[in-house]
Amino acid sequence: MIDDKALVSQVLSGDRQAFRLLIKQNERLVGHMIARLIDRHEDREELCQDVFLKVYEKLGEFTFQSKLSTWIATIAYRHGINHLRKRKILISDLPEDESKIERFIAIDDASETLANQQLDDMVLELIEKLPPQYKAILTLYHVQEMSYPEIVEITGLPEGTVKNYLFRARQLLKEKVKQYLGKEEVL
Amino acid sequence: MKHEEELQNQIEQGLRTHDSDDALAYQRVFNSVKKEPDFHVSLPFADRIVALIEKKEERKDFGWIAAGIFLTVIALIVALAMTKVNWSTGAFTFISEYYGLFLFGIVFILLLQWIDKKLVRKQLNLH
Repeated sequence: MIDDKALVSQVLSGDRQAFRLLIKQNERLVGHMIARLIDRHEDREELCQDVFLKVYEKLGEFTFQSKLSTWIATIAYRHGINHLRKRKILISDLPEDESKIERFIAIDDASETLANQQLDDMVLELIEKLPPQYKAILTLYHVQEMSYPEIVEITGLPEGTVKNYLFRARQLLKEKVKQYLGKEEVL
Repeated sequence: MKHEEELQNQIEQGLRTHDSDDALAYQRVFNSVKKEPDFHVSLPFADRIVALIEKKEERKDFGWIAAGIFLTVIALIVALAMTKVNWSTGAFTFISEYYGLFLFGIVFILLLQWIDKKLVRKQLNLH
């Protein structure tokens, strides 16, 4: 497999085939990040396209301080967050108030509408209802298997916040799953 | 909080089985969060992006050519105005004797440019 430096240098010299390879190597990462941040299916592919156009435009500024994939994920994350900001979608932390948390994950909705689905599907649907930053961190950590320093670089959040968001996201999901399993046992 | 954190760590590292409701629920959560989101870009995705980049660069090239022609014309007008040149076609009459040669020169240069753009640069981008 071609290393980051050689690939970047080929792309910068105008080699289109090298850029195709760069896209192929990173399209899953960008796709996962955008899919977790953006709910509207029709916007996702266009946003992924914008991310790679930005990567091409800014590639000359990449200084190899991190892995190329981390740098690309940073662009994807910021692009997704900016898109949500433009659409005035709440991206801040979950409120501490337990009653407000219910806005994000409605227990009754989940148990009624998803009663016959697999638990995996239910958890994936619950993840969709989490705040964007929680979703992004869950994806980077569990799907992309990135380290905390990499996630810190991508999101620009302090390491403590990243760990806290990850902990709280998993805890919230656990509570819902526990309730779901409890109801299942009663049935 | 501390207990929850420890529980998450133990489940993540596979150090604890589902010996309680919380542990069982966490185990299910950890299994599910590893699943990829259900989204894939369309098949010709990379080709489409490269085509967009080429289109953008072509537009940029065209912009530079247009700017070059415009500035050349402006420079010519300024030069003519400043030098108060006297127009005389006498100096250019020799061109009519080599009309074919001049025409061939212009066509040849345009052909070279076309070959460079359509064939040579395309080949470079394929490798």
